[in-house]
Amino acid sequence: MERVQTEAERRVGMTADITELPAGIMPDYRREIPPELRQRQGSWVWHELVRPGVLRHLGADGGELFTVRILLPPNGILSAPTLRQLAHWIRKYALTGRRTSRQGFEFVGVQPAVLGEMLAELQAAGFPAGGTGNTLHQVKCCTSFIHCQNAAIDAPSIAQVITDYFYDDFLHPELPAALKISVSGCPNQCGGGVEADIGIMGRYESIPEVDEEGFLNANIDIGLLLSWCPTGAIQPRETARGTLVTIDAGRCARCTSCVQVAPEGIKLQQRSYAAIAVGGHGGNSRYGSEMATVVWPRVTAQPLQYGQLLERIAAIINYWRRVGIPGERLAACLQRTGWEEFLAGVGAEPFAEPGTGRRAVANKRKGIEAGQL
Amino acid sequence: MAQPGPEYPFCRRLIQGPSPSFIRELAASRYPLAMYEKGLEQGASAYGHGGYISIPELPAGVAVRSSCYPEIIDESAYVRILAPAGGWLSAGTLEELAACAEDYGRGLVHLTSGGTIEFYTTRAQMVATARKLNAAGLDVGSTGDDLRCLTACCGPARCEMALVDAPALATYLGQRFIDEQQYPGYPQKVKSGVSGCPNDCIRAMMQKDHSFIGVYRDVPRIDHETLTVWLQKGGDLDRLIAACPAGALSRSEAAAEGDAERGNLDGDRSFADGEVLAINATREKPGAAGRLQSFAMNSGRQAGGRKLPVETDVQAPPAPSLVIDAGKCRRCMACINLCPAIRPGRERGVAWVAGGKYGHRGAGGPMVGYVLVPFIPIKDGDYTAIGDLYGAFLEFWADNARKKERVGDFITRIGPRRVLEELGWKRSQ
Repeated sequence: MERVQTEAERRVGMTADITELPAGIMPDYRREIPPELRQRQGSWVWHELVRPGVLRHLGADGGELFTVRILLPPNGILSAPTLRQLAHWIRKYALTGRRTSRQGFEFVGVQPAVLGEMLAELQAAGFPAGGTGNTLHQVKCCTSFIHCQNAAIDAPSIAQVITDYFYDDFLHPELPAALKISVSGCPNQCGGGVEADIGIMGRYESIPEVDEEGFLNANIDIGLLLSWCPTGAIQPRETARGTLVTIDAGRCARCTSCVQVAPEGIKLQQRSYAAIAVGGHGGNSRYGSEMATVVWPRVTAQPLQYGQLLERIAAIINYWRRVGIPGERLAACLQRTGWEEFLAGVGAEPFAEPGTGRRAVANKRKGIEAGQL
Repeated sequence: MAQPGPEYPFCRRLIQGPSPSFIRELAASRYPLAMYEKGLEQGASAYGHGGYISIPELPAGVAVRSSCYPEIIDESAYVRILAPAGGWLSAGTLEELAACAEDYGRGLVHLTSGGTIEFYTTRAQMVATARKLNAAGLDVGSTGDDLRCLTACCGPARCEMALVDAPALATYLGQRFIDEQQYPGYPQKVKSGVSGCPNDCIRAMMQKDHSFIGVYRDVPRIDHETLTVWLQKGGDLDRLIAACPAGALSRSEAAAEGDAERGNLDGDRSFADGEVLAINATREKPGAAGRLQSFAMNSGRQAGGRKLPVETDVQAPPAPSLVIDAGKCRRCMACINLCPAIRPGRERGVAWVAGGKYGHRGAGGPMVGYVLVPFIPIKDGDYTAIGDLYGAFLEFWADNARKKERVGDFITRIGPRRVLEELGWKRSQ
């Protein structure tokens, strides 16, 4: 096979014969930014929203820089023709591009004269500009069933359905503040969830099951298996046939770590559901980064049966629209109104906040709903 | 645009909405759509465990997924590409990626939520793919128990808030620790991110094991001329004051009363380093009369309250104006985000935060990182000291962490103070 001498090899004068090492190239971001933009680095002093999806950065020298942010398909899945299309738009209208940390895409350095033409072309091609300011931002999600074995629910299709359902909120800045929704297929949360205003997180209902035959036949590193369990739910058990393990259902956190170590011997149970968490945000204003709190721990999320999810997300957004003050993120709104009012407002199971006089009902008998006691 | 055929009823339901559909992207490539359809139909992924693998020439950057339906596909392999920091992707790079994915993969590229770029290929094509990427100035890595690709926010090239050059620092660390990204040898994966300012748009503190967050140490500066213009254009002073989480903002009349505990804001020359706002390019300059100067702030850390009065010749401000109480100010970005007349302080550096993670694995579950060092100064773009510290921590963690123990759980177990002691960190002053 013919191979090209790599940049790293050229640097150290290595011949093409030595091919056993990785090339060792960490790409320099500077080559992605044309010199005319690099020269203006650090000159920006303010930015404003021109219209949804269009940012205008203002420079100390009176210059300006337009950015157009578009909606990408969920999960940042892009076919080669679409990548070429993005490249074509950069060449035609902008200086360069960047993928955002929420799996969206931005064209940076758009010429103001061609802005209208560009927006029309983007809209016609099905990649509308939006997701800036007080709108629904790009819904971030993990790969799930597209290419991952660990997913309890399918995040990309949920993200797709959410984006379709709340499409108008993506285009029109009529929410109190920015709304970020993240969807993760499993507790690993590669797609996020705890960091978002509304996080949808895949959960397994039951503990993983030990397949004894598979476990004994595979050469499983028991020490690693035990050490990777965060709650100590896995205990070894010596049998005549060899070492097996038992999983304590009371301690198991359904994190699926054990399945990563011993996929041959420990299987995931397929029954799964989604948890909806509310009020996460990053940044260090206010109280610093805060993680979202689970409001509905078990919501049906079988593929494409997402009605219950959408209903609850809509309830959260509608509540926030009703009581939110302009500029107030969901977390701030919750802290102002309190959980009790929020839960009642969105139709979730209420609970009594400490000091409000009502006593929470303790469910001491397993398997019986609190109301039946 | 491509559409899935009638044999994919679930997939077809996902192309009916108004927003761009990933099914169309999958259908426009050589991705085995039957696998995804099977997953939706069964309510469980059609892929099985495979894992991060090491092959000759490529210790990291390649992985496989096994298949539960060998009649559709035997297995699916993928390569993970170290992405340029800040997410910056030029037209040329996008075209290179498209060509690579078409020639060596399935014609599909995935911008991952972790900040890297992946595409699906086959086991046989892995080395050839990597060499092709190398020729385009890109490389694979960032899989398994190694240093994962360093990510950053867009940085000062586009953003006015950036206090440090985040993509430059990420690139520096990525280049210095390139071997760690390509040879898995750590107890567990370790992710890193660099944010330009405390807004932390990339959520580095939460998602990444190590994050360097751009911070400033003196108080924000107020340009009263710009403030006047901002107020004239409808700026809401009350909302601005209410937005401060620490209650450090107040109208300047209060300061004029001579409360000695109130620090001042801008030095004698607001935005003297050229940061004259272009918000209203045609406005008339109100002259120097609008400046209010009561005290000079040397540093935000003067907890003792000894401040040096430097300016006595003060003319009355023409309109309601602002002061910042240096003792209360948390050096966040709340007011700076809202008002163009307030800009971050000039004394800038990074905070070193370690231990963040989203996932529910590990004893701590999802964590926001510990602020280990609140301020490391950066001078003239020299990141050596940060690199030294980062490298020392990685070595310390690698030597002492338990198997599969993420940085956050490790620090929780031994305590953040111990980490700093072991690294020889001395309290300054």
